[in-house]
Amino acid sequence: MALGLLIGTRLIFFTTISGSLMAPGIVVLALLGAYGVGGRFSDVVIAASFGLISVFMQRYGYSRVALIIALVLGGLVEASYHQSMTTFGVQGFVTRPIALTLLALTILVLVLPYVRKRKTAVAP
Amino acid sequence: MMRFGEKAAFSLAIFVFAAILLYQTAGMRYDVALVPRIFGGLLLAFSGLQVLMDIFPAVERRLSFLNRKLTQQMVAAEEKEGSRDPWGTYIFFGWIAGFVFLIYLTSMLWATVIALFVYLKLINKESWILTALYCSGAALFIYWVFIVGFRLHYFL
Repeated sequence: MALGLLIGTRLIFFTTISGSLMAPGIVVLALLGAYGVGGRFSDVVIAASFGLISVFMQRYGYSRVALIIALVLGGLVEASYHQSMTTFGVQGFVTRPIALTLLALTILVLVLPYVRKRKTAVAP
Repeated sequence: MMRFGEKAAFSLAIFVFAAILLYQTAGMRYDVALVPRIFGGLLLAFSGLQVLMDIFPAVERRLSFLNRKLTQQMVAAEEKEGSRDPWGTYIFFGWIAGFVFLIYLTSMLWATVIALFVYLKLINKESWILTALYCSGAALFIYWVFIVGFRLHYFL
């Protein structure tokens, strides 16, 4: 933490480096990481292909953030879902207090923007 | 009237991917296939709708409430992108493809040095000093971290 505080403000100069100089470095690092996992060329091709897919996703308005969250959390969510179903069954999602609270909060977060929009539309 | 452009092709690719995903769940046990089928079904339905909207403008006009915010974002992004040089983007993609091909032909270390030299000196027209520093810095970084540090000799 001390090191971070010490050098943090000094690293601001990185923001002044032009994008055309940073871009090849970022691409090199990304493909290095993909290759370093197992030394397979196919990993590099897959990494480059996903880079191309993300360009098209940005161009046509698809959310890349949602895809990354799904890739990172998807396996975890599925495993946890199967564990819960095996241990508690379907009723476990509504009979356990913590699960019920989280379910209610999720529904609230999904519904609230539409309710607010409606109230704003109705109000003079 | 129908239109089939890049956007329709991309959304069709997502639709085909969702269809393949669902097809793959055919032989699975019910509880194992449940989550892939739920998400695959949702993806198939929404991507199918997107394909219809992209190919048939009449459908897009009828369902314009789905696209309102997205259209504004895309118009803003297109205006920003329009000011950039499109050839620069294609050259950069070509450079990435060349870099990947060099990795296949040579090794990661040599591909990095050659690709960075090509980009900095030939494409970006930077100075010799910056090019030499950048390429040698990258090579040293790969050598010390991956080859000496992690002992990943396939980088050579």
